[in-house]
Amino acid sequence: MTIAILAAACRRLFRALTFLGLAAAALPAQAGSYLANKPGELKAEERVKPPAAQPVQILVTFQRDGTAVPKVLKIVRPKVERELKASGMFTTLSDTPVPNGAIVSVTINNITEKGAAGKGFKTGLTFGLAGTMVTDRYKVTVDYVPAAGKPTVTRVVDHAIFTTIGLKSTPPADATKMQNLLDAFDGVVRQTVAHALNGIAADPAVAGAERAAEAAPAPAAAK
Amino acid sequence: MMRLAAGAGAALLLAGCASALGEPAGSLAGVQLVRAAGIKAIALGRFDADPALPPRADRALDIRAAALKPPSGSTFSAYLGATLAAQLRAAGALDPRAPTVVSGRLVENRISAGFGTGRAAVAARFTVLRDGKPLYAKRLAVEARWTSNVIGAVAFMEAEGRYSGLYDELVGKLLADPDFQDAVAGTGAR
Repeated sequence: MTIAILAAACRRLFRALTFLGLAAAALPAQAGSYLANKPGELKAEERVKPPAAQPVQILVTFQRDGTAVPKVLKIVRPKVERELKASGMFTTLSDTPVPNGAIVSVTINNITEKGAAGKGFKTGLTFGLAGTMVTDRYKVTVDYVPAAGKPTVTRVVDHAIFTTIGLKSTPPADATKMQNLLDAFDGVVRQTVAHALNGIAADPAVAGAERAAEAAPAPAAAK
Repeated sequence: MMRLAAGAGAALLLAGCASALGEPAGSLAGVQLVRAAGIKAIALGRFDADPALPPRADRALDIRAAALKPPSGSTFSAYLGATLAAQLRAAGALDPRAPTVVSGRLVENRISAGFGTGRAAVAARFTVLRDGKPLYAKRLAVEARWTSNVIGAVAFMEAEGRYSGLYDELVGKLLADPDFQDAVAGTGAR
């Protein structure tokens, strides 16, 4: 009985503290989202000629510290699809297998900063006086299977978002201020997927196969 | 993303409300497992909860002051079936007309995210029937243990991620089980 009363009291205190911290953190003042300057946008001169576009099956995974979080896919998947279409490597994107067995898998792993919640909580409780900066790192892995039975070509690109909260937060060096967090995340997906696909398009296993296909005589001409 | 998710988790916690798991999705690892196992076509049978499991355990789990639920008013046992279906569909191996039928019964489903340590466990008994003949019956279990944050909203989010990840892990364990692979080897629609 005593334990139950204590537990209930603890729960109420905990809720009150959480409310105070979060309410203060929710104040509109002095929050900023910054996108790391590297890898940056894929420049026109860096872009390699993509192989002939073909249909592909698309698989998207969002992870937090290596654990899949399917709930976020509603936000993430359209952003990834937009970049895959923009690459010029694919004619259609499908949820299910395509005739040639091609698959592109994009895994976005959000590596969170240890103790980030505590830092934000402290800033909230001090009504923004104790400023802080939290770093969200992203490791984006793009796996491409050009056709059934072909080896997987993989590229990994790292990125980061810095979030400052409070009055005395120092903006991060080597980063660009974004309008908001979603805008920053948009940049992470756009830049990492573009760089990874560009690396895949340049890989000899993909580009080489394309060149070999172009050099091979057409079946009719081989007679 | 972490901030947004934390905010949503906090709002749920403060409201004493419930959060639902996201719809499961196929993965490259899952597709490769299905293909490596030579699985061509599988139909899914019934996925339900063991009668010995408390009825609420199939519909909601409490994480501190909030409840975690399966998507869209479903059950956790149905979520297990949906996770397997997502992997089979992504591999092109889900066929409702296939003679090989895989079913599952949730026999354990628990989570705790106290101050300090979080724990979760999911176990199911899977069966494979072909033309009504039993080929496989095995209980498979997975569990997770993690450091649980003192802040409720963060603890909820961590627990939700760890718990939902167990379904992928359990399905991966099934697909990688040599006995299961033997049972469904060379499966195909008639």
